[in-house]
Amino acid sequence: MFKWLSLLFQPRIFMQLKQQLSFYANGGAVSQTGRLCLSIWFLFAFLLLKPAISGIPSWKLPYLLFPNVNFARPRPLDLIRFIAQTLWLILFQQNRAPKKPISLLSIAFRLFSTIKSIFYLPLNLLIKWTQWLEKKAENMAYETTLKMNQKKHKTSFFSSVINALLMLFIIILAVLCFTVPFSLEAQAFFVIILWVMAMMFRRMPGRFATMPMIILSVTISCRYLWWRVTSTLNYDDPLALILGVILLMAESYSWLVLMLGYFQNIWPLKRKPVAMTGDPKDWPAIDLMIPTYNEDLDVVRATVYASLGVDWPSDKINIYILDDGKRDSFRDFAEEVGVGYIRRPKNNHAKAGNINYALEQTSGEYVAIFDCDHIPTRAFFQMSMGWFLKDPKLAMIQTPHHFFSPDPFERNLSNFRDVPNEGNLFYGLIQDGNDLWDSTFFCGSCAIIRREPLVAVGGIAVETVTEDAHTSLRMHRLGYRSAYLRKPLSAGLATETLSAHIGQRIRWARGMAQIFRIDNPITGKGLKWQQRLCYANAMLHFLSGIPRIIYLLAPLAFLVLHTYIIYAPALAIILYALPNMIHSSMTNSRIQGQYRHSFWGEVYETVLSWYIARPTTVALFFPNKGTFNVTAKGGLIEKEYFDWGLSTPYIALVLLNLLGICFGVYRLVYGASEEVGSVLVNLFWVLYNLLILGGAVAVAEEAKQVRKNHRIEVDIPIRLALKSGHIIRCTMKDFSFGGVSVELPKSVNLKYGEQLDVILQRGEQSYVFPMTPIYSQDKILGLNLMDLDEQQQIDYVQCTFARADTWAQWQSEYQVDKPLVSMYRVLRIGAEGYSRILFNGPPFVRMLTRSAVTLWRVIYSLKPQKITLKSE
Amino acid sequence: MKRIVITGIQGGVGATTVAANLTIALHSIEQKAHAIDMNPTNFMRLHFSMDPNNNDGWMLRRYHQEPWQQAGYQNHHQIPFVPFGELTEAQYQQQLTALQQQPMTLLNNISPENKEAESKSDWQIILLPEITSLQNFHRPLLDEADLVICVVRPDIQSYLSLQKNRHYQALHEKHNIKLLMNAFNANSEVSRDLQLVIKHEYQEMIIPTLMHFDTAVPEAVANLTSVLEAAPYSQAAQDYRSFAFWCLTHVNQEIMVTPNV
Repeated sequence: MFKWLSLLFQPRIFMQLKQQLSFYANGGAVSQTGRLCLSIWFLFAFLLLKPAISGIPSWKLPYLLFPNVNFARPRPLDLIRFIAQTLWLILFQQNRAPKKPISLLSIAFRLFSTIKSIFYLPLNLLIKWTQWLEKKAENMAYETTLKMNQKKHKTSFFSSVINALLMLFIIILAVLCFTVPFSLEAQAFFVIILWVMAMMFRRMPGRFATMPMIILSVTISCRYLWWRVTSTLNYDDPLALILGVILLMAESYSWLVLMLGYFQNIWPLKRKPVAMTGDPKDWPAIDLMIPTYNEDLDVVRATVYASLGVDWPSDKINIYILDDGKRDSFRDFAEEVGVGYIRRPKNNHAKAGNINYALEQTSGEYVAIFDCDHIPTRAFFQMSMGWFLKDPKLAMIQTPHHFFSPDPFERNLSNFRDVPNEGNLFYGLIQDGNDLWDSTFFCGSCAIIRREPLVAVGGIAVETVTEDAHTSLRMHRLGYRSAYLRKPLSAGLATETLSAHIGQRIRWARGMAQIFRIDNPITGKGLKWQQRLCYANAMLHFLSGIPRIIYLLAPLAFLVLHTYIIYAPALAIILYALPNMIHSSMTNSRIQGQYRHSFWGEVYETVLSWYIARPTTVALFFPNKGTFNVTAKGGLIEKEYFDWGLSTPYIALVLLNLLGICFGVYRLVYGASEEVGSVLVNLFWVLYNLLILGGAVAVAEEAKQVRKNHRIEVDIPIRLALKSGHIIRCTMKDFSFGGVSVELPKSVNLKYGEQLDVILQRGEQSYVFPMTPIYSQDKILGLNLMDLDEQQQIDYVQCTFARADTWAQWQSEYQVDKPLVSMYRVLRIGAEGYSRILFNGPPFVRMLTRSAVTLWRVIYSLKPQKITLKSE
Repeated sequence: MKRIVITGIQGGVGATTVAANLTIALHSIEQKAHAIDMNPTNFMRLHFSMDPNNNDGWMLRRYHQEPWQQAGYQNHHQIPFVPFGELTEAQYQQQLTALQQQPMTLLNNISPENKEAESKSDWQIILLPEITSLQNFHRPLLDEADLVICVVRPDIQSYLSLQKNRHYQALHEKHNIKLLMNAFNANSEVSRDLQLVIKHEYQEMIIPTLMHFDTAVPEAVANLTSVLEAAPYSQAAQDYRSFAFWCLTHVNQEIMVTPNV
């Protein structure tokens, strides 16, 4: 259908047209229709158009103007696309001559910015002043805490009277603020003023500005709660009253946690390391204990190798593997590398019992405890021990648990190293906040404990399943101090499946509830009130399960049962509840922004809520039930699957909420007109719940984890030695237990299977590791470690995982929270969750989903596309 | 002018390579430097792409009683150097005796005549024979040097020479010598160990940049070029760049702390 052109044109021109045809074909076949269309177009362009229009050969125009149509192989729907695109091109996308923007607008804009700068002038001065003040305060922070926590500071009578009076005044003012009833207009005015102030403080950098934000948020929240208690309960309707009180209790819980959180994190201490002084011969002896139960030898190996290289006088450090699994392979391994091996006759009290038995066998002045998958860096003791020498009452120093593999949330939502993970908030902020109040608690690993206080409390506590927090609580009771050093000095593996992750959290939740019953920090002896509050907050945190479920169901009470559990007009609810939410999330985003992005906490909490609700409740009433379960780590997930078992409760909640939506729509259409406000508020609530639930469901699809060795991204200059004797300077981009990948200064061709040596540096010494290339792409070269002997394996771990700077980039990579961006991401994750449900559902659902998606894609492809014509 | 005198603890440790590549590396960091070969083996010219059949050199010019500057050459990057020259045994012995009788001539010859005109940023790199073959006419050069570098290897011969060699001891008493460790082989255990031993025992004297053994160096010489040019990404090239930078900071620091009275 193209050859007819040869009748009209000379062979030379026909050849050219054929070339044009092959340009449109772009390597593919050309259908008969395509030939016909294109030949007509070529003829038309040749005869009637200029050779080039605005710099583009005219025969090429359709290709550029209709990117969504393939002219070589047109399909039936292309006709619609063609028409839509033509209309779009003619009606909307015209190349307008660039006009100067209207000057009036720019004048107005300039005027506005001038006014703004004048308006902000006092603020900017204030900012400078607070920054100066803050610097002063930072310098004094530690000394102040010390004084405060030792109760040494003596204040004069005069100043204490002043303080008391001020306190009284503030309390009266606060009570007034919280309780004075306002009309709706007054409340609106009040709320807006506070919001404006918060927005202003939000602009100020530094920690001082956080405090007024906290005060504003506390005011609004207290006011909200007061309003809820006094004027939103419907005493006439028993069902509404019962449900309302339940909701109110959940809200009171959230309020309490919010207040305690503010208190806890008001001024994170950010403790700095103290250098070791004196002759290393006089440094204290340390017993480094690695408890293990059922983990692989490979997991333990790396930890032992790294421990062997820790910078501490070698006669002052003893490494012990505490093997509760009673495995001979471990004993042989310990003998081989020359570390201690302790096996106990019994198995009672799990990890706590294991460590306690080892405490009897050893005698070092300090005990460092590493879970068998936490690899210490060489600087661990150098950085942390200094504090013990400085402060003789210090019983324990904790460092963060850093994970180099993604946790199930990160892996299943594929946001590893993108959004701060769940643990980040705790180790980045909360422990640092606790440190100010001298209530940092022991987290079971990556910590050093002084033996004397540990013995004084009878070793590691065995009564609860969270032996770590319980132990530090007991040491605090005896008046010992604890410290937190927010430096990633070790790293380990995260839990690999969601069910394992949830299992671990269940254990923590249950343990915390047990402590609450057995050794209540609020009423027990010996603690300062600040410590009581911090411990109380840590425990309350794990009781969040039931309140969360209440929130997920609450709007249904109105939509389905038609009971007013918040007995107030919709406008009043908006005026009280919305500011409460806005202020608390704004303030929390300010405090936690670096460590947890807004709304992610909701997702984490929702996932856990169902599963921790029962064990915490049981533990609260029967603290002695239940056993210790070990968290499995270091496994593989070979096939992607959807964990239907885990997500069942959430799918049930989703269905309930969907039912709520149906009812809501029904009420909107057929209900009384004065109810519309309430229906809309509740509908909005349901939608929000649905999206958070979507996020929770999305986590249940277990992504594949086929890589046994997790790669750690770094940027370290290293050397490659070729067999020819050439040495090339290059950069190590990542490493794992299996090998490294490097970036060469220019691309090279290496023979497959050619062996080469990687030279790594540790301090002043060089170590050589034989490797073979396994892939090569441009400048990137992937290398696999060859078989190493024992000593080489030790060296390899010490040159990579145990480097002091390997984890130093922790935290710095995360972007600071932007609440709206974060909300968008959470919403997208929620939507993703639903698509995962549908794609993993029963066959007919899957088929329906697929066809719906295909249909949508086809319809979407009809949309006209924006084009940019570039002259060549 | 800043003068660096380079010698070797014994023959074959790589002093020639170090001197030539240091000159080129100094150029690569925008420093003006020239090299003078005073080692009778006359191999420095190979690094500067000089035709091996060209016998010219300052010693030969001296023999012919021509100004020694006539033997100045430049490589294709305009880096100036002066080769030693190829002499017959009789010619060489004659010149040797002449120089031995007038030990100051060498120094006077190569020092700029006009003190005012000399540029402070210029570098003069002088390659001497290994320590055991140093002559009395080399002494004034050592006395007048801003930096004396003795190249050693992380092997047992170098280590014993450092401990026992009387030539080295004599030199060490008079001059402030810096030791440069060359041809370190990370693959060899003895090399690694001796590197640590020497570094530990001669802490103050050792230059912190460690020169690795890299096949790129002999390859470059065989191709009559410098390793910086032939293999810019090699470890050797990197080593020479950091070494040049160390010289720059070290010598400038020395000059600054010396009271200028």
